[in-house]
Amino acid sequence: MAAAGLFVSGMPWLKDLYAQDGLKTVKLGIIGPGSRGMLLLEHLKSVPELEISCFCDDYEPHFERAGQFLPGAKGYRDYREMLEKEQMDGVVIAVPLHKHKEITVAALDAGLHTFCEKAMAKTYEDCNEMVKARERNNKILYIGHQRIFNTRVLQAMKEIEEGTIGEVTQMRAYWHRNNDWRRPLPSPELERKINWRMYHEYSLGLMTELASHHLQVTNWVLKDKPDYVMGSGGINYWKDGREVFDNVNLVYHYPSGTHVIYDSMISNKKYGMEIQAMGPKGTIEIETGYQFSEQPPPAAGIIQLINNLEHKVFDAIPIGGASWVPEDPSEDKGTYLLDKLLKTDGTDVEMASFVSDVRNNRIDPWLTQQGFYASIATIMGFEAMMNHRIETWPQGLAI
Amino acid sequence: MKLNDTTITALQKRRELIIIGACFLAAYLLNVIGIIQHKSPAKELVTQLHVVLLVSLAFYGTVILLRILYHVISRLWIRK
Repeated sequence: MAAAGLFVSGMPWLKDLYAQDGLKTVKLGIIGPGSRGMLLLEHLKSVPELEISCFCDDYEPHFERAGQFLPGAKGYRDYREMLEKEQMDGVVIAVPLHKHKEITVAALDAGLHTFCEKAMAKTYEDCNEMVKARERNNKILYIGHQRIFNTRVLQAMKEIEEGTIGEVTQMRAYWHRNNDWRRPLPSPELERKINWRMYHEYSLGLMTELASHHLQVTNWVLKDKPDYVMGSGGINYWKDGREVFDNVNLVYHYPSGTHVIYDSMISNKKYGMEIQAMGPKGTIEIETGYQFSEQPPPAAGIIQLINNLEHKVFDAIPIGGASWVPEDPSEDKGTYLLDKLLKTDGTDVEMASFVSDVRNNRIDPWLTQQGFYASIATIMGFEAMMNHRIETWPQGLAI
Repeated sequence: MKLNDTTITALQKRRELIIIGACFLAAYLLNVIGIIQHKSPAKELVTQLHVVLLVSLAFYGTVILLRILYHVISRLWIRK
């Protein structure tokens, strides 16, 4: 977390995060302490002067686990009862996607600062309703895009803004896994409750659960939102009754003429995940934090001399010039953007930032905008693939 | 198997040191030529010493091979 301090001056939403003097205790509740919710709780536990006073879950194993993790906190099975009865400053929501809008709007209307996991919602209308609820209540609304708080990503953004790679002329992003993306079931009738990511009633699959993160970063890098998208998706491997695609392939167009080429699959993980920003001077791989120059510094003089001698001795004598030279990939190994390897993904700083903003009643609409635009972009991609059409940015949706 | 004692004379030691020194100088000269030819920064006179040492070793190895070859051919010539 200390490393993040380096970027505080350039990233207004991070300021005062680490101030320790005279802290007012913040009271939060959590709705949905499932697997992601528990991870958020783990991070929240290390935030000073924070009390998690209550929790809510309608799934018994999660309810019991949260009760053990938060001794003294009051447990609820209905979020409406919790919002009505509890006096608190804010709420953390980590429920399945289809419940985001309903619970977030209720929390904001109850006067609570709100953190809601990404993506915002399943439809344009629901996303917009969440934004309107934030605006009418003038409260904080974070959407869980932790890359905004990831030191490696922040450093990459700094390099891009300083023009290290020149104007970004293309972005590529991909997220590849090799597993069925299913959770084990305690009993078959819980299939839709546990594996909600597999069904359109609850989720838009790879788009809302993974692509949302990358589209937030591409919007951030390009300082804009896509005006249209085309794409195709399908189920070509995990034919196990799921409804959501197991592979998605999209091209987003931005008003500047720049494109983001995105794909995601869950039947091969060789390439893992990456976000590549490419410009005439270089490339930055944002997820892994490496920078590559289009003109890497030349080798030492003696090495060049030896190479030249070697070529003169061993190379074939050309009779005529080559008509075609292969465009081999650059052999530049790149330089790591930070002094040391960073293992956290930014969620720890994100949670600390949320608590700090709640404490100081600091409302930053930019953060909500990032979540909103990324969520709209994910829905656009989904609609483009489902309807086999070019999907344009919905008119009137802007912050 | 019977192993014999061998003696390396002061003259032999001096000769080897001179050869090694000559190899190092030749490699260093290569570094200087490389820097001039490719307009590399002068700091490479120091920073590329590890490469110079490797090239020196390669030169010395080549000299050893040539000397072994010379001895083998000489012996065969004498036997004839």
